[in-house]
Amino acid sequence: MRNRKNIYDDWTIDFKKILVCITIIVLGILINIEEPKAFAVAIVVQGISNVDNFWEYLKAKIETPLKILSAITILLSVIAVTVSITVLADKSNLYDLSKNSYAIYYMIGFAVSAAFPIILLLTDLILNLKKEKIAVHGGVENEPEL
Amino acid sequence: MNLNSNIFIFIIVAIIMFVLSVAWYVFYANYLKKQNNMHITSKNERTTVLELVKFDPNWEEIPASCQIELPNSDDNIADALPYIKKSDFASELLENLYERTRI
Repeated sequence: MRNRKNIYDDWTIDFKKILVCITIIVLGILINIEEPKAFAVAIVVQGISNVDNFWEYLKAKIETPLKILSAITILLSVIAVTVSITVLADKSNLYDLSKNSYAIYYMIGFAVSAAFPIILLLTDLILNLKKEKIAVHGGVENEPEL
Repeated sequence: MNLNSNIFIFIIVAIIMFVLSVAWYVFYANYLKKQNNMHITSKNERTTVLELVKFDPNWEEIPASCQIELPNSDDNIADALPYIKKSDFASELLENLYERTRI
């Protein structure tokens, strides 16, 4: 049996997860103006969600590059969550733009870490849409020939 | 100032994600293309398959290349077939074929 080429079988799941990820990150960044802890909370929520979503793909029968990227995603999310929890717990100014001059770099770095699954999900979304197009117009139910 | 910084962060993150997504899509699409073309991954297997596809034996020479002794000295194998064990003959034929072609 050949390995799976997609994370999810349905493009709507990819779309939903991309939307949720973007919303959480954008809200986290924008609310950070008023409340410096908002970004940390957003990173924790998204990071935990990433670990939960991609953990099962570490042992699933999927293509090796997907497995590697899932592992990288989990690793980055864990680092981001750990740092953000530390920020929430010890009242440091890591994400406070007014007090920390390097906050902008930390925020960019950890936002990319938490939003890393978007890379996987976007590719998956396009592949799923292509598969659906072939199934509808070509009458073939097989995987897309790329 | 803060709003501008936050929007700046958002734009930078969006650009990074976009560039990484495009790079990943290009890489993964190429990977899948290779996988579709090459179900047989090892080089030896590919060479063997290519040789088999190209192999065009001279079928008239095959009976002559078969080194088993036939009951009849007749050249025509069809006449000798009733007198020989067909399975033995087939295995001898295959062995000789293998020795000649090495595939």
